Amino acid sequence: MSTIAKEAHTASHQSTSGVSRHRRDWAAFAVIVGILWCLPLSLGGFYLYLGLAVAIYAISALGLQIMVGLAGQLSLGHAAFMGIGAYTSVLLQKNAGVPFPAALAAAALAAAAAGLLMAQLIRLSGVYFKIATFGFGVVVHQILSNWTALTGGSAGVRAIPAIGVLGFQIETRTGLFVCEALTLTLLYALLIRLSHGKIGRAFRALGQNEAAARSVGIAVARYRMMVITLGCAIAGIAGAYLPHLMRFLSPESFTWYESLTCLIMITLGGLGSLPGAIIGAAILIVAPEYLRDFAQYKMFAFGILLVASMILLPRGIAGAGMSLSRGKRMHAQ
Amino acid sequence: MNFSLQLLSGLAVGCIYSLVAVGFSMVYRAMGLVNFAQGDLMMIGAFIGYSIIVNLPGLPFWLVVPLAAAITACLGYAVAQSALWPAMQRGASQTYLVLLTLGIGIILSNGARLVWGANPLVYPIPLTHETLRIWDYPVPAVYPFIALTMVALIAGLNVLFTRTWIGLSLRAAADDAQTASVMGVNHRLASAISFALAAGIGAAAGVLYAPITFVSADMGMIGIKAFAAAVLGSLGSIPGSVIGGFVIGIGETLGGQLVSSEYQDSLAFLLMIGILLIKPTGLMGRKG
Repeated sequence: MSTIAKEAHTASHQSTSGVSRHRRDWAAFAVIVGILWCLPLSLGGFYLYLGLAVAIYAISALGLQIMVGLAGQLSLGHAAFMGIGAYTSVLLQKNAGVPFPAALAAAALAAAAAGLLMAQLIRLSGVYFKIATFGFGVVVHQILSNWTALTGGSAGVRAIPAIGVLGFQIETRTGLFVCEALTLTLLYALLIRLSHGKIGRAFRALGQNEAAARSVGIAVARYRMMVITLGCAIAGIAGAYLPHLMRFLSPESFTWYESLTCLIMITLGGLGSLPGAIIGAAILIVAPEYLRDFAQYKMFAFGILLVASMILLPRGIAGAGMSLSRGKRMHAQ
Repeated sequence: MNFSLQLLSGLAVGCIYSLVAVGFSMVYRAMGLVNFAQGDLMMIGAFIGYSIIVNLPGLPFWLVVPLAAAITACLGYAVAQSALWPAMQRGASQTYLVLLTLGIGIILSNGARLVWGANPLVYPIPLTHETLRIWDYPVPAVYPFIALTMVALIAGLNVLFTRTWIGLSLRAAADDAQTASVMGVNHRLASAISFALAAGIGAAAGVLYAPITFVSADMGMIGIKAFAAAVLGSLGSIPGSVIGGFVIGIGETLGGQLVSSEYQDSLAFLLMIGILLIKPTGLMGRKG
């Protein structure tokens, strides 16, 4: 009962302040994109490496955020789609000499196709769908590990070719970072546009109350399929960059723990918030790098972080930051 | 490998899946909660069993099982009271609750890794290596234990739920919490007891499973397959969970032999997805 009232309250709040919310989203975009383009490139070295890793997982987390945070379609196999994207792109570049932009598009398409396949399972309602997404992740991981002829099995793929764009070979990390940051910026902007449009509103309605969404004439099944396919395609794009950073590709980058980590990123950052997904990804990638002495506590700490953030900050870091700034503004008035 | 032997091992693993799946179903019915930490509670139970065996070397195995189950049930009770109930009370969404149980699962499995170490452990008891001869086949000596405990637990649960006042209140709270609380059933207590019972049953399964395999922090993955079993047999139905456990256990063992053992986990999930696509409410589900 209380949730419905709360949802109604937030919904009405959102509709009255729709314009300001729009402006706030673009302000957050400006800040995040500004940091993204300035920090890693000016600091260089290890920070550039961190920036590369953060950008990849930020892209992936954005995909998961629109699925889980916005549209309420919990996926427990997100890393599998990163894996599909990574293998598609690398194998095309390595074995067929396909240039990187085409391989990237192919990665997105392959992950989208797999996502569409998984989306067929939405006829399994609620709980059943969640466990099916987990099963999907397991199946993909086992195929990547065991189809040795195609993927090289658990030994992985070595000698990842350099990114080739329009005949240029991008050998440096700076070049790679520019490609990644461009992709992230574009995707982030597109997703903000999308989340304020008709489709985004339908996704959000789906996430808040599926029955109510259906009753006002939203084609629930079609939008669910759409958001799952879109989220998975974005994971495929993120996956396509991963091997170029690691210079190595192995199925172990796409396990259940990676899917979980992506879920923790968006929960910690704030379910439903696009900037939250990026903030969460940044924290979960950067923090372990500085706490390497405590590496054996990593997943334990992630678990505590997940539960603590859910209890203390139900709307995540982005939500807490937003209410903080709103509180200040009210004080100023 | 012999077909009958495979069938027996499938049945034994099926019993383990069934027990964990029963725990899933009980929590789902009592709290409307998909408990992704159930497998990790089973893993904790197996580790607690290990500590009991190491610290009390003389204790017979049939006493280790209930002792580990009781300790894990207390842990489950604490988890339900401290973490799950406040969230449910707030009317948190299903996504939130799933993430919460996932978080609890991560804490349990990685906490176990810190306490008991990252290397897989073997129960230091003769039962781990002993075999019996049944119809001339060598069968691990723990199989009769598994079968007996399984039968005893399911029978016990049946008696508990149909013949006792506690079981009646648990069922009442699960079916209609509001009406039950009017009748004087404490919903919070009923939820926590159901969760603790499920944790205890899972722990018993973990201790019984340990002699066939290793005890490791990754054992919780079994729990996810058990979840597939519970779903396949219709979530919330105890007979369904038992049947689902056997279908997954035998299906993946025989399927692993026929296809390839590397794909055993995939087979379990494909089996589940296939059955659900044909019968969306599960094997024991009612139409509608």
